[in-house]
Amino acid sequence: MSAVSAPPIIATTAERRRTRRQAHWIVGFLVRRIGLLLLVLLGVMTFLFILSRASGDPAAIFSAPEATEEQLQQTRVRLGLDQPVLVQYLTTVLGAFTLQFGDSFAFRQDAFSIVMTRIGPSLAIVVPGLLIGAALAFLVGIYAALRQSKKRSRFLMSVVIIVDGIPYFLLALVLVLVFAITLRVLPATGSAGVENMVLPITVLVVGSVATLSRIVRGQIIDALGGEHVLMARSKGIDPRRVLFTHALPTALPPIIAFMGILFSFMVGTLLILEPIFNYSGVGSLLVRSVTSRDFTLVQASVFVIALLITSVNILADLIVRILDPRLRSEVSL
Amino acid sequence: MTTVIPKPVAPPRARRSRARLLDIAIKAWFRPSGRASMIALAVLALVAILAPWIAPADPAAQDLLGANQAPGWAGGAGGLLGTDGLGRDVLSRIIFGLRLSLVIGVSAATISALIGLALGVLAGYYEKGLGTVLMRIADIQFAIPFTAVGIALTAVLGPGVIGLILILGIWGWTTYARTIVSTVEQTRRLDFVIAARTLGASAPRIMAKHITPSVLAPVIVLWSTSAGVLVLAESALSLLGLGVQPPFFSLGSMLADAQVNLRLAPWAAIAPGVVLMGIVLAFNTLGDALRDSFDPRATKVSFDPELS
Repeated sequence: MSAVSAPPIIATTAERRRTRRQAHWIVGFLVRRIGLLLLVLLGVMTFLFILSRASGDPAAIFSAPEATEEQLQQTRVRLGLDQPVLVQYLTTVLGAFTLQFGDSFAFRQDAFSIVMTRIGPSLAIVVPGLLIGAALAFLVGIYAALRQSKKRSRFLMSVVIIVDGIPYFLLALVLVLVFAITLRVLPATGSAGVENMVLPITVLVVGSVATLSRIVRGQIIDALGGEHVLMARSKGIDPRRVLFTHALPTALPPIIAFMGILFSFMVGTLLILEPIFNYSGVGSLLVRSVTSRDFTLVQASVFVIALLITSVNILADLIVRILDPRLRSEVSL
Repeated sequence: MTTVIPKPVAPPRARRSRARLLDIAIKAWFRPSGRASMIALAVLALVAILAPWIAPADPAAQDLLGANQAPGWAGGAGGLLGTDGLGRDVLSRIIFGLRLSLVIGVSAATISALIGLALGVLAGYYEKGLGTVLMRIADIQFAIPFTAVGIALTAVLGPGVIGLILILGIWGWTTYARTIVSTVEQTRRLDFVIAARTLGASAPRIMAKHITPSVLAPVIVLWSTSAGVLVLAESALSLLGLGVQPPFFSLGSMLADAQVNLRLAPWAAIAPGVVLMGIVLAFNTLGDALRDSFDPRATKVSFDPELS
């Protein structure tokens, strides 16, 4: 009898050991990646500090052209520019890590809180853009992977490749032309409500479907060639079940890692898209503050964007490691 | 007594890597997509070089009375592709604008390929010290949207074609370095590299002669795709008014000009945009064809997310 009851006991101890090890790798992974995140943020702030000091005397930029030397000196004291450079650097970096960026020169308000009010509208177009795009990309990619030789699938992939070549800002301009100027069904500019978000989201969706569906197709084709899929098929499991329970889990990790990269790419495109649509998110804020040399605002928004991009990629890599245990032991970041 | 020291026979010069690169190009040529993209790029380059002889009108000649004329085939009086808001011929401007777009894209891609190749090989060879530092710098660059850097640097350096090429070229090295660094790390552990080191080859010689050939193929593929991406990046910066400045113009700055008059003269935006799309497609397709020729199994990401 003991021989029969023995295996479950072994299984539970093994299981317990595994869960303990799992907790361990997640902690180790997060500690490593958050340490790296801090390093990245330090690097970003150093880069921005050098950039802001390399572009001329901020006091002169933020004073009237006819300002006297005395007034310039007052501005310097107000901005803390009379301190030694090292002190200024340390103040900037320490301020950034405590989210104290100081007041925006142009808005005369706390730069960080301005950025926080603008980040919401930006995420409101990026997140739906990425998620809707991913959903469509899975449909297109899986269809194209399953019907590799069919004419329709080949046609679909050629369309995807051509759409992938469309510059996103051209697409934005064409959408404005068609829906806002010719048909007049959607507003071209502004950020008042949902109807203002439709066109920017569409641009992001089209871009992400085009790039992601090629990745999905490639990964699914690779996964369907795996031995475990052959095994499952030869056991007589329903092909659809094989696709979703055997092939898809193998294909998923690289796709999710790529979605993390795509998110960073999309945040970058916001800097072009938001000014085109006159949408008041963090992208148009950043463009405006760079061109008007509002350095505290530049530092705050780039800091927040860098934090966001890096955190999303940490999350993506965490999901990848949850899905694929083989990657957990990897020391490389 | 004279001992005849046998003269070491000069080994046949190793031309394997070059032959392999040529082989990749030939294989790409025999793919329909590769041939189509090569011909398309050759035509675009030819049009750009021969611009003064091809263009039907002076691209800078303004004619305010003939502004925003529709293309001839659409019932307007504006020539083949219409005129823009200042009455300039869109077709002629596209033909001349191609010059800067292609020059900026191709030279920035070449600069970033060279920097990326050098730093990638160094990072892979000095894996622990320099490699770690370089890869952390790459991580930092990844977290900053390129457009922000481009805008900031053009604001600092002042807009100009040379500055633009340098900014785009210097920022783009990470893609190459990331792609080749693991191959370099693997290659430097292979027997032939160890043999070379045992024979007393210096580190620079090993890197240049023995390691670089093994990563040249992916660099060339990336060069092709990143040239398209960089043409786009230039256009994006120009669209914000921070790239190419008048009197010079590229396809991107044409889009910026046309954006103001989008309602009156949509052709002035769509025509250069379509040409831009053609350039990107040609470079992307060439990159895909090259990759398929040197490694049919590779399903690597074909676009550069860091240059948005």
